[in-house]
Amino acid sequence: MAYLLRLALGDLKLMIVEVVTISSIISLAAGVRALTNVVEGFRDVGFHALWDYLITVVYWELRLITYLWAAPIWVLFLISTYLTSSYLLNDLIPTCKVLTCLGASKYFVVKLLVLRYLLISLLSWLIGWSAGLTASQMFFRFTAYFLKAPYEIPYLNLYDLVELALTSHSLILLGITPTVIKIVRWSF
Amino acid sequence: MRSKLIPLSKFKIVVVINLVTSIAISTTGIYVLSVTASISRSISLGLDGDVLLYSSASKVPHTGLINVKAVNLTGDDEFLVLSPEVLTPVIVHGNPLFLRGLNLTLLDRLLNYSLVGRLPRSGDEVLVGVRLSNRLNISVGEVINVNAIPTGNEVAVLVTGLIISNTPLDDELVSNLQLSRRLRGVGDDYVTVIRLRVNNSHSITKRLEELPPLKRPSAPYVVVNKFLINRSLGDVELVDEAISRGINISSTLLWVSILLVLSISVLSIYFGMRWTLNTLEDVLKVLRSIGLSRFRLASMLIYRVMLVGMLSGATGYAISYLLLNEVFNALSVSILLHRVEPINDLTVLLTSTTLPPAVSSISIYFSVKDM
Repeated sequence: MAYLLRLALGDLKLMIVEVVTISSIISLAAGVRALTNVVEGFRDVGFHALWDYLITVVYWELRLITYLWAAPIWVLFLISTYLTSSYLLNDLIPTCKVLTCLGASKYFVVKLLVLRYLLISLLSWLIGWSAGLTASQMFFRFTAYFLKAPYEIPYLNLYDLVELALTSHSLILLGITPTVIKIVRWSF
Repeated sequence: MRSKLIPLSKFKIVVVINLVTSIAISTTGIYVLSVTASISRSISLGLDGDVLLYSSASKVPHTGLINVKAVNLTGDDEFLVLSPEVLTPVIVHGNPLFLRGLNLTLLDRLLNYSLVGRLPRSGDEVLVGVRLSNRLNISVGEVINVNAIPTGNEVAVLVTGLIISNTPLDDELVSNLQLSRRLRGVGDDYVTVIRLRVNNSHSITKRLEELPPLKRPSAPYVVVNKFLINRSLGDVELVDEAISRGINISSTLLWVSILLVLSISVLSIYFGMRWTLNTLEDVLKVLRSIGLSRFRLASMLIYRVMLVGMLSGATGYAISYLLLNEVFNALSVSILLHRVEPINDLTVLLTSTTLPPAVSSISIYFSVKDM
């Protein structure tokens, strides 16, 4: 297993760069989600007068503005995660070729690719949401202090984490699939 | 020869990352500037150069009131225009919007506009902004019920004209001061904002410094009475607090979004470039071993990232602007009951086009330094 892990890690320097690049894209999505969660509180105004109409509409406008900013960033996150992932396993192609020439089984090569995928996607997700959440909280604190505005804590709930995990894992899997097919076809 | 060794096709990751970050930076930049400009235009009407006086006690200019007598600027000859205005939040056809009461005889001097119909002549007539008219399907000659939010009064008013000004006035009802004050529940001495147009803004500075501080105790008696009848006086302050809290948090969010996008973009571009350079490591090492200097190698790579970065930056900006224009038009995005319009900004374009090549160049410098 340790041998397989060593092979899957490959060029460690390159893998770190790959993970950090994908993580930074995920952290953008996580930071944006944490910020949009702040305006989720803009619902219960608590006025039972005509003013309620005005405040509710203004709050609705503010929420819409935040969501409309978040939407294109999420689309960019989806597209870029998929596209960058398609280059993830390229450095493993020579390793797989050598292993096949040395007589490695199809099962072993696929196991190597799956392990590499799991390592990259799990690390990217973990680093991504942690960095995104921390950055959004730090920047919010700093900006609120600077603008003398009320401080709200940007946060991610469990649903957001699961959504980020599912989305990033699926997109990375989708991105590497052509390379995996190419390797498996070439090998056998 | 060297360009064949390092073809542009090897920079696919850089292209993807640069394009994505450029779109993210441009979208966020245009968005933030458009929204903040719309908030400020909603009170100033986008008439640059005008000096606006409004209550320092109120956290949102739209809800504040000042006493004209306390300001004591009436009839001063040094002003080209002195326009007192009263903003009253009202409900028409179930939609909250602003009724702007102003001296209609000054409208010609205030802004360039086209009018379909005629100006109101009495306190039960209004003009309707063209965008508002389209949104609520209000036409000239129609009688509409206007429900005042501050006082709860409901009045039927005749729409005498349609105003087209390309300013936030297109999203409002416009009336004379009398109607707006009546619906707001304030006396003749109170206004939301005083607009001053002067020849030389420096000459007015000293005069404004002499003005008394406009504090909350100047709240009009009529409003106090109205609120004492129905609910606690605290409601006025709570409304001001609630709206200003929402606006302040949103402003913070907008600026945080810029910081977040910029910092993460820098990170993505830097490591995206390192990724590409890692995949090119063998070729770069060969070029170094056959005698290519670090400087030549770096300049060769920087030339490529400059090309890729600037093209992606400009493309990203164009995509963002067109996208936001479509979204703002399709969804009628508004803030403080006024339409948000995307604005072109050179700073955003420059940031979007120069940041990716600049960060990529730094990444190249650190990589080539170690070779």
